[in-house]
Amino acid sequence: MVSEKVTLINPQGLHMRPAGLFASTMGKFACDVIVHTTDKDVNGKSPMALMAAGIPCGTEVEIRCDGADENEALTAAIDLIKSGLGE
Amino acid sequence: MNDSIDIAAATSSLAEKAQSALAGLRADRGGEADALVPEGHVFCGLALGDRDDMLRFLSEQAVSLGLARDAEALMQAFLKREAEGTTGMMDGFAIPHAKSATIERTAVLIAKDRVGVTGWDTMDELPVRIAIALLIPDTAGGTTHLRLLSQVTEALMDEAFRDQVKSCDDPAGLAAAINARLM
Repeated sequence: MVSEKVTLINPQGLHMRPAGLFASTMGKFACDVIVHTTDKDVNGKSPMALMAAGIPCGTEVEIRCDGADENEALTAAIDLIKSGLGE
Repeated sequence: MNDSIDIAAATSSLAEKAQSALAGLRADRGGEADALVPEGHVFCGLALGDRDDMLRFLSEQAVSLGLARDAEALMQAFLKREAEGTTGMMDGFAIPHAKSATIERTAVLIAKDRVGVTGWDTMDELPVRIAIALLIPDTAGGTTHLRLLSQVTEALMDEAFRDQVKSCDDPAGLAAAINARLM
């Protein structure tokens, strides 16, 4: 398992559009992807779970990837969040 | 004894934070202390055709209810959001939303079609029967949209809640079921 912390910079937080983009990107990888916050662990491949988590801008999360392509998945996740998830 | 005091203090602090968050949400809705979804915001038994028919219906009802000033402007805001990515979810649900200067206050409208509308991309390719529309004024705080979306999505992840909404066809019952989950 590999992990890295990253801060969400999207002004409106992880709402529907960025949540959907993150989930669909992570869905391409075989490994498990967890978005860990201080009070919950969220399935990073589920757009509904990510939206339900309601993670606001400025939150530091830890992305945890566990499986065959975990390093590639983690790199993709961190790059995507740092770039603002398309916003 | 000390543990009891700490628990009491923590509980009190949590209650204060919850009240503050709730006050924030109510303030965004013009300071109203009533339910998030009044019965008058729920429309059942509709016979609409496609996604745009449903969005147009919601836009016109929003103006009739005094929630927005211009139905066409609201419709365009809904369509703009759909163009960025579908708000169709699963199991017959969609969460269309609009943030626009024409919206007077934060509100939730519910539209339920008898058979389901066509032309709305969804995760499971089922037609949309129930739209839970979120209206957010331009002046609302940055987290209003996120909080509402989070609450609605969390509710929709509960199969029992989805079944309850799908099986209820009277506005009062539907409003009660949704309010019980969204607050």
